This record gives sequence, C-alpha cells and structure tokens, in this order.
Amino acid sequence: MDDDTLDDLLARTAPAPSPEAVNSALQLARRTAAEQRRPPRWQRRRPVVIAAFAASALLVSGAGTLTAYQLGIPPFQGTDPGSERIATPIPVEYTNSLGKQVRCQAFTEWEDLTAEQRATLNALGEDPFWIGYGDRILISQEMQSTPVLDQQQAVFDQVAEDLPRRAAAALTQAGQYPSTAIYHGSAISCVPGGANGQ
Amino acid sequence: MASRDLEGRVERLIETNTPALLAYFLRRTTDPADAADLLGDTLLVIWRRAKALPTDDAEARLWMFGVARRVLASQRRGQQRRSALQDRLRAQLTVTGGEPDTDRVDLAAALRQLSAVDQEIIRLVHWDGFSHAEAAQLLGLPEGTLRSRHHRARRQLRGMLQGFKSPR
Repeated sequence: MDDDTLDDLLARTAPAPSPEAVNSALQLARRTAAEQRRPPRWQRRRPVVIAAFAASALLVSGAGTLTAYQLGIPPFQGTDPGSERIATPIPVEYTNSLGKQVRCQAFTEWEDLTAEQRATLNALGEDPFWIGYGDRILISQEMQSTPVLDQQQAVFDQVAEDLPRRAAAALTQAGQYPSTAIYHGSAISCVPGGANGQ
Repeated sequence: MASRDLEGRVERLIETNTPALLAYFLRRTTDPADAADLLGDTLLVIWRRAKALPTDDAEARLWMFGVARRVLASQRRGQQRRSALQDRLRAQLTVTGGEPDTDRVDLAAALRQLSAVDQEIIRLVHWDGFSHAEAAQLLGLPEGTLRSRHHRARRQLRGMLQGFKSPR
C-alpha cells in the first residue's frame, strides 16, 4: 500500500454525521445561543435575588455541607427560552460498583404549564415508582458491577426516557393532559459524580 | 469588545464550527449517540467561557476544539441535561444503514493497534483536517515530535492494512 492509497482510504472512511444530524446540531447550537445570550438589563437582578435566597435558605436549614449545597441547587444548566424547570426534584438513588450511595436529583422542563399542571408535576417525586428506581435500572441492565461512569450513563439514559413518560402519565391521570404544555427536556445532577465515584 | 459584539462573534464561530465539532465527537465515541451530549456540553462551555475566546478566528477555532477535547476527557460527569433537540440528534446519530464497509472495518482495527496519541494524531490530521502545527498545539506536543509520530503511525497503518489484504 502506498501513501496515496492510504490517504484516500483515510479520507473515504472518516465517520461523518448525516446532513439531518448536522441540521439538528445547528438547531441545538442556535437554541443554546438563545439560552446563553444575556437577558435584558431589567432581568439581570433576578439571579442575585435567587442566589441570595438560596444561600440564606441553606444557612437557616443548617445544610451547610458541600453535598447538601450541591444537591440543594438544581443543575447549573440553563433552560430553553420560555421554559421552566419544575422546582421539586425527582429523587434517583443507587449504589455504585464501588459500594457508594449515589444521590441524584432529576428535573423536567416545560413550557406553557397551568398552575394545576405545575402542582401535579411538583408532586411527581412522591410517586413510589422512584423508590429504588436507580438500583432497579442497574439490575435490569445487569450493570451492578460495571464501571461507575457506565452505571451513571445508564441511569442518565433511563431517566431521560422515563421522566417524560411518567410526567405525561401523571398529567393524564389528573385530567390535565393533553394540553398546550410542551415538554422541553430533563436535567439530572448526581453526587458523587465523575470518574472516581467516591 | 462590547458584550453584544462578543455574543455575535461567538454565535458566528459556533455556527461555522458546529458541524466539525459534531464530526469530531462522532469519530471518538463508541456509541454515536453520545456525540449529541458531548456537543451540547461543549456548546455550553464555549458560551460560558466566551470571554477567553482568542481574538483571531483561526486561534478561536483551535480553542473551541480544545474545549471539545477537555469535554471528551471528562465525559460523563455527574451532571447531564438532555433537551428534546439533543434527543432528536441522538436518534439521528444512532441510525445506521448500508452494507458494512470492509475497508472501514480494517482501518478501525488497525487504528486500535496504534497508541492512543498516535490514533489521535491520525484522526486530527486526516479526519478533522488540522495541520501538523494545529494538531501539535491541540495535543500539547512539539510540532517536530508530532510530525515524526505521524510519519511512524502512517507507516504502521500501511503495514497493518497490507497484512489484512494478504491471503489469510
């Protein structure tokens, strides 16, 4: 095999996304840009107020540990324009392959919710379905002994699949769905996170 | 630079480089769908660190791929957000079709036998289109070292691929 043949082979076999995937990626980039652009001046004070409130709430509750702090605040991730993140988290817990208890908080994000729908979604975390949910995911996928990052990804993937389904079911059961409400996505934050899982 | 100007520049650079960033992740993940999450994380980091963006566009492009490289290295941290758009992109990336390409399979097998750094040099130069100088900067290697490693990696690849083509 000569140099030219190798060059040709490398050029020809480079994995490349489809035009549809590129189009979706560009839409994701535009959506992210809209999320990240600075809000108008009159809105800029709100995060300060919220941050101050969160800090004082932590002080009052005495939850001053790093873990409590990390779990006490929703993921440091923006939401889509016009959407809101449901304030009450869904608890997801599991024991990782290092024997450590991992505690996660998952949230759904919506647009155009009514007050009744918001209340239903805020109560979603009380559903007994979530008790032992994280461990059930690992058991059903036979992942109790796999590396912690693989376990975490499996939980993330399953949560992203189950959350909108459970939320829609709860709204339907309450006679509040279908409606004009739009599901935007989900977010999850775990402690401990990262590679060592300690 | 005024904030609005900076935002406009970040948006333009992201728009230009998003297809290449997506391809970058697609070429480095076992599960193609993971590329969607990695791209989403990278876009967020770029926006949040936008003030550190180099003023030269070519340097800025390298900086963005540096962010992508670090996001890939810290893949799957303890936090993730999955938007409906990301889910659509994951689904599109997962779709596969057509006959398996023997050349592609052989090349993937040969690449796996190179060291991790040499694999990355081949990907950066041949798949992502970076020059030797740019690839060296991204990997934190002297350019001369990268050139010699690239030459050696190509020779190894040729030898392995030749072996695959021989009657077995």
